[in-house]
Amino acid sequence: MKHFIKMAFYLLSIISIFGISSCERELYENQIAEGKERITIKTLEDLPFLKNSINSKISNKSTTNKEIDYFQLIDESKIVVIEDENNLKTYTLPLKLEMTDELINLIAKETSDELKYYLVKYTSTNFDEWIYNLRNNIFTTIETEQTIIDFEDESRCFGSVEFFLCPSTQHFTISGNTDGCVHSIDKWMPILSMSIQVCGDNSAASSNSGSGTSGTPVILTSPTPCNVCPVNEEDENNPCDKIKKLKDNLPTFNEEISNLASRTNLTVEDGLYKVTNSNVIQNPGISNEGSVSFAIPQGNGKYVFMGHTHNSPSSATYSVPSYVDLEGLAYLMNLDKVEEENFVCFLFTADGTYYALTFESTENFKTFFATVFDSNFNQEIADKKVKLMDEYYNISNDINIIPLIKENSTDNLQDKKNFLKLLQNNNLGVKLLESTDSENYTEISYNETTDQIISIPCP
Amino acid sequence: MKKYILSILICTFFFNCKAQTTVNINTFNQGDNSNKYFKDLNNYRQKFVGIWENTIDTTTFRLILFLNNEKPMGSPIDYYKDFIGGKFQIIENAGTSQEIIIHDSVKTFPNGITTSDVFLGNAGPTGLAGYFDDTCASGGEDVQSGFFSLDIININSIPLQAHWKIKKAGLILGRYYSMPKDVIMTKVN
Repeated sequence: MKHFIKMAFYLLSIISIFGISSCERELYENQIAEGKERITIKTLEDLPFLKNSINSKISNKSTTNKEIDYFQLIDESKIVVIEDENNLKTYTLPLKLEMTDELINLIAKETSDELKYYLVKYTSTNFDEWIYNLRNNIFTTIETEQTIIDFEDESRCFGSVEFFLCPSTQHFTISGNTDGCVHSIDKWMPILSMSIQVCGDNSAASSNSGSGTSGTPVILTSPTPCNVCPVNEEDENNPCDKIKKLKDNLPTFNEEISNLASRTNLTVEDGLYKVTNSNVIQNPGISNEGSVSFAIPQGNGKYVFMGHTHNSPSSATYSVPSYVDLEGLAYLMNLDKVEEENFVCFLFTADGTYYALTFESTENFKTFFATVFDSNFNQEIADKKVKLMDEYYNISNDINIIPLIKENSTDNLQDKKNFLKLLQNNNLGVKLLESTDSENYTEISYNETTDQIISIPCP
Repeated sequence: MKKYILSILICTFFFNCKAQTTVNINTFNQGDNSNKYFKDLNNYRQKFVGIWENTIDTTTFRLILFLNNEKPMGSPIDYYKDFIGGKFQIIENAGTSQEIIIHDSVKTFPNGITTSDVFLGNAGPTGLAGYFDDTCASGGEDVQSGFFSLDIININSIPLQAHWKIKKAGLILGRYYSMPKDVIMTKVN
């Protein structure tokens, strides 16, 4: 007995030490819905084991080139994690492919000891209408045909598909109604995902209504329309819509923003803004240093949009938002002086770059830049911010540092990639759009693996 | 029992230690920074350590700079680096019986956090530059970050004098620093 207690103490101590040593607080977790299943949105950075698994797949000699192509197309910024009642997770990995009549996702299914990968193709002739309706808050349904391909063994029984009748982000819509939807229709978003039950995994068998047939590919046809619920309350704040709303609601917006974009050749900055408690677009002040200075809106006023220039010469100005820009925006947000849901921040630079920033989630952004004065200040995140800002912007002004984003550089593409890396890898909740004429915008993201900028033009 | 304790200590060491290489600070961002200690091997920082002051009329800006060695960077820690740390005070009638400290960067905030080091500076042969949090900004009701430089203008003289500048104002109107923007500082201690 004495020996047993000693051993137990010994093992407990080892486990405790390991737990303390390896424990890292998971930051920025966004739990979206409470229900039969837990649905969350993560970035790939938030899921290191999944990232390692994908990297290992890409480097594995037995992985075919076609599979590698798919793995390299993963949109790392928006991974749907579905955790069932048995704590088994299914990861929907959207692919950066233009949606035609086919929407293709990679699905990673967690088993007891590994991740199994499947390719899921949803086919429909109504995707355009479906997305249009979702973006315009119109109640909508979609009927899709699904093809599921087991990546690892095409001759193997791939198992059955849960809720195959309605591939939905919330999986509440088997019967075609939306009673289970947590969020209102204006928050719905165009993502399709499903849980997959692999062969031999009986943990979710009771809820399964799938076919369970062997061989691949297997085509399952949805006989009923599927209502697609939202993943994230803020995700359906489509960046393109936010700009469109400004154009629609402010008659002089196009003309004034275009004029602002043409003033990057000045030797001082310039700006524009609109606040909620005023009907007109206004100009901010310019400081003695030639920098634009936005006032804190009076009363209940909040910024609807703001825009400013980074002035000439191009060899001495940031082609992307500066640290000061980001810190200033966060300051206003922490004061609740920004109409966060629809807010757009425009930037036009002497480098010839035109950008718009929108926010799909402001909480992470505000926390990241919070000062010790703010209630959301977190020392751990503040330490992370200082390190990152030094690497990206050289805020410590170290003559030895070549920052990733350079004020005196005219390599706009590299600045753009690094700025996107900063946003994406740290889950700041910011969407970046670019334009060549200040009127038409394209949502952009960066795939580090392929070193490609992914562009999705606004409709 | 001893061997169990010993095992625990060994395990603690095993799980917590990370291989760390000491390298010259001028190699920062040249390759992977992880698990390195970027050390001020040229000892550029030393000449800036101490108390610097500027007095205009009855108002004194006092800057107290110190070594911040092997500062852990990132969370979780990615690398370590030598910096100059510091704090400041704005004082009325310094050195007299009517001396009043108007602003002190060392302060406790409503969330219970007390600041101690509000500067993150890097030193060169004759200049110091970096980032700061003005914890007394906008009349003491704000924390505003910014960039500073302190360039020595009489390198071989005593006392040392240096040109202090805050390089960039913020994006937001109405926020202002408690520290002066452009003055000559004298090293007094």
